[in-house]
Amino acid sequence: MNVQSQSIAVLNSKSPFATNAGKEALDVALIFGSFEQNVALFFQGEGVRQLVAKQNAETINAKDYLATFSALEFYDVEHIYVCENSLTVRNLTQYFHVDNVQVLSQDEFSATLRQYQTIVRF
Amino acid sequence: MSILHLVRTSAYQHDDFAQCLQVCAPTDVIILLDDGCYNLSHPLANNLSQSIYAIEEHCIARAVSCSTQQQLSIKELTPLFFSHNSVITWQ
Repeated sequence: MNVQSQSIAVLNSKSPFATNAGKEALDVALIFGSFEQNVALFFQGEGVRQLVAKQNAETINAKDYLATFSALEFYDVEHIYVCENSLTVRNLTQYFHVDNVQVLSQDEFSATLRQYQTIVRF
Repeated sequence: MSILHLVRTSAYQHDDFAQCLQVCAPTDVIILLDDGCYNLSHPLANNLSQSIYAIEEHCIARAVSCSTQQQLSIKELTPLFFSHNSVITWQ
């Protein structure tokens, strides 16, 4: 992958509903995307739970920001990476509510992340 | 291509430090700030290949013992931002 000089990685580390971190991270990615910046989403640790399919925010009266993930493709945010080790530790399958998620080993995850010029962590 | 890692939470309470080590390369540098200073005594900090430093002022405030080789003052931190390609804050 050829990463241009202005590239931003948004690293997600929080579960979806306990904090607003996930929604804020997604907003940041969409804003960079709307300005045609090279932005990628990374999911590590509890952050991988944001990608789990069949979640239902309505039952806890939370705003369903996960549905907004489907907007990523319209903003040309094409790179979504998830740490395989974080999935395995949590007994999670590779069954996501977003398409084009790339599952990377710990070393690949690290190598891909460090290709980006700016890394913001939520 | 090296990254400056700023760790601001205790590994006894959060897994930020563990996640940092997952993406950390041997040439990276780790700085422990605020409650991150507590990680000096955590098993995860044993036998690291990376350079690891703790902010002197933050250690003193918490009575965390830190060897002089691993101490870094806040003033010494600033130049490190310019000698690394990027920075990740783990908090």
